[in-house]
Amino acid sequence: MGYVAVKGGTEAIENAGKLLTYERIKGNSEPLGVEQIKEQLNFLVDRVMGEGSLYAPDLAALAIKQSAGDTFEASFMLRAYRTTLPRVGYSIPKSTKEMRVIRRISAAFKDIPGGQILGPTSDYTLRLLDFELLNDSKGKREECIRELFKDIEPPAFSLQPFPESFPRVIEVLRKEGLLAEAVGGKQPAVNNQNGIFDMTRQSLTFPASRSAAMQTMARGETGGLLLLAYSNMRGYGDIHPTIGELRVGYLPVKIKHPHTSKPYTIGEVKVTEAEVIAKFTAKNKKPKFTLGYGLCFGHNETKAISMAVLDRAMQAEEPKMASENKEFVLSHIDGIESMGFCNHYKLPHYVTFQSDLDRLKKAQEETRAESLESGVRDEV
Amino acid sequence: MADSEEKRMDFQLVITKMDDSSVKELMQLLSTEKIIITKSPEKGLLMMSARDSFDTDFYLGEILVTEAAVESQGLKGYAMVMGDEPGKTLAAASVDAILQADNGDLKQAVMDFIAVQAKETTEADEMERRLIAKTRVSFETMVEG
Repeated sequence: MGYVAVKGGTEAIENAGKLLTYERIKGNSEPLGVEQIKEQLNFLVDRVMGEGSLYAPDLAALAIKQSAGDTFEASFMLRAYRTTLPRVGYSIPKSTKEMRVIRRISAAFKDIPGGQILGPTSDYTLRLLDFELLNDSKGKREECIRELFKDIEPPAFSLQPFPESFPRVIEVLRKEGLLAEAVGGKQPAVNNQNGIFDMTRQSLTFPASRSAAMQTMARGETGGLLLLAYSNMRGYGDIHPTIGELRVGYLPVKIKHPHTSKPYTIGEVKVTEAEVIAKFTAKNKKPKFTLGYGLCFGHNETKAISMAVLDRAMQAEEPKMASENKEFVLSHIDGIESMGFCNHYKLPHYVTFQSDLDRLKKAQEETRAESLESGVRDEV
Repeated sequence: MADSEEKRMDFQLVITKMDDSSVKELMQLLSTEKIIITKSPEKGLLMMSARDSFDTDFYLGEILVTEAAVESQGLKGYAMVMGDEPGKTLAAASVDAILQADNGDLKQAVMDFIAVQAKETTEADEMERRLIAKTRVSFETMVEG
């Protein structure tokens, strides 16, 4: 029995939409500025841009305002908006070597070339509520910034040489021949057009190429990626990852200038990158370390690490667990798809359910008729 | 030539970081010049390609951009700016065209104006770099005695 739609209800639907707006605006507080959301809820904006797969901080902030903070709805709005715009081109693929790093750490090596930079992080602080923030004001912020800048003004501050870019930590392992160079697991030999799969143009089929897997995870929902990666970390899998390097920073976006054909930097995007290292022993082969890779829009470390763990997990030669099964992982991590499917169950299914009901009643009647035969006990 | 091309593009990057009033000032500076808009600023999507640690290229996601093209004295100027930025895009495309022309005074005035703006952003970036540099860490492993 297929789905049978309903009609009518236009007025009630319009009123319901207005009521939703009323819920957002009925309080007495000042209207929330999009600029405020963009600057002060930066993690939220980053998450929505990543899951909506559209780097547009102003629009992400607007979507957050409109959806009253629902990340699924906000990302959905960005995905819907992007369908109204033409694709004007592709950036030049570049390694992340040129990243303007604001944070990079390694859990594998204490001393890494270029040094460890903690950057902006809450990793080593207690998660205690800061009641001072209840009395936040412009003045207090200015004072805080003054305080921060006080001891970095020259000549009191002499900057240790701070490189423009950092060498990769995994190069250390690569040089010593400790890292497997090829991607493990079964990979389809040929990719799609110009070698890169684009899931906004083609539907995902299996076995999926590496570029398809990377794109799917980069636009995946943080919670979905985390759940599957966490299942692997806890033991439903066998990775035991170590974070070789975690980086947060800005990647230059380069295109080919249409007049000069030279690379032309149009700006930069904030990204998080993770490389996890895991031991790997293939039958009859020298044991080596293998790599899992994660990269996503914005500052979202949970997502980048989860992506890297899943990338490594999906390289399993004989997938046994959910997180090692490429088809399972890639089919279940999209936020807009999964949220949409979950919520579609709210829509009227009157006809399909009526059919279920009829069948159940009929089955019960048949059982009842059988049970009335001698020797069969009626369990109802 | 390659050097001046690079400079032109660096100038464009500075324009993307300017505030609205500076962009307006810049456009006023250019108002003596006849600039023909050959492609009005239009929004579009640029697909960002990335390269992972296995040297596999993949699509990271799309970026909202604005594109425009102009012509001044027969010289073509082009700009792509991140975000919905028609004003900045037009300014950047105009500068791209004008910096190729042979109009010494105006060229110098534009370059001076942008240099002042560049200095401001560089200073702000430098302060942030120092704050980041202050988070450089050297962990010690604890050895049981």
